[in-house]
Amino acid sequence: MHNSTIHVQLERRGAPDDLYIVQGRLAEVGVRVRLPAPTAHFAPFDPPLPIDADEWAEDIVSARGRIRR
Amino acid sequence: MRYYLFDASALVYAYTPALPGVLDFMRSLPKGGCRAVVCDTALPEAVIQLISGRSNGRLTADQLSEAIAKLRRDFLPATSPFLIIEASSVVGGTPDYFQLYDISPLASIVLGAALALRTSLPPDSDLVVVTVDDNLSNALGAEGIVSIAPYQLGAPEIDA
Repeated sequence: MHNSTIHVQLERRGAPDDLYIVQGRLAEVGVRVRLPAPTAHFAPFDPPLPIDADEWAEDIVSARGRIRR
Repeated sequence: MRYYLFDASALVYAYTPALPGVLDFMRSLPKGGCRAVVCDTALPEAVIQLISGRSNGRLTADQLSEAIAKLRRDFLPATSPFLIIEASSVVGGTPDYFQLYDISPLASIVLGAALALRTSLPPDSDLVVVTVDDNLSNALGAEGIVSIAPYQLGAPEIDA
């Protein structure tokens, strides 16, 4: 890998340096990524309600279309 | 720096209004010195699961609309808090993973993304995959990658 200078060759958009390093290293092995928007955040939900997390986990995994061999 | 790779099953937990703890944890990531990563296949898969949740009576129509709106916003380039891995660039190894482990085709893409990401992290960084899929967790474990369930996020033993 030649990752020592990759991060300085990439366009700066305000994202943390480590993300540019990761982006560069992934690019070297042919993996493309999109960096997060600099000021992005996860918005909260309001109000929360109770739900059965275990039941939903079963639904999620079964719906993945797992193929048994 | 810790990188959390969320698969679609984890996103369903995060974007379900009834399970606020996961998204609350994700909201703390930028301040907590961690990064949130997804594969772009997680968006359609999570949307399908959320719609299924509505069909199963787990979500109201309004909750479904809110969840999908937030999920969509977080995958748009201008507003995404995620580092998003393009699936088209990691599917090359998925036939091997699919044959080697008892995982679904979609899970094999997540495994491919996790393997690529692990090799590309800076020194002193680690990777944790967040999923409720036990088979994917087993495959990740066989590859030496740590995985946790979304409801374990923030637990002291995980953060230690």
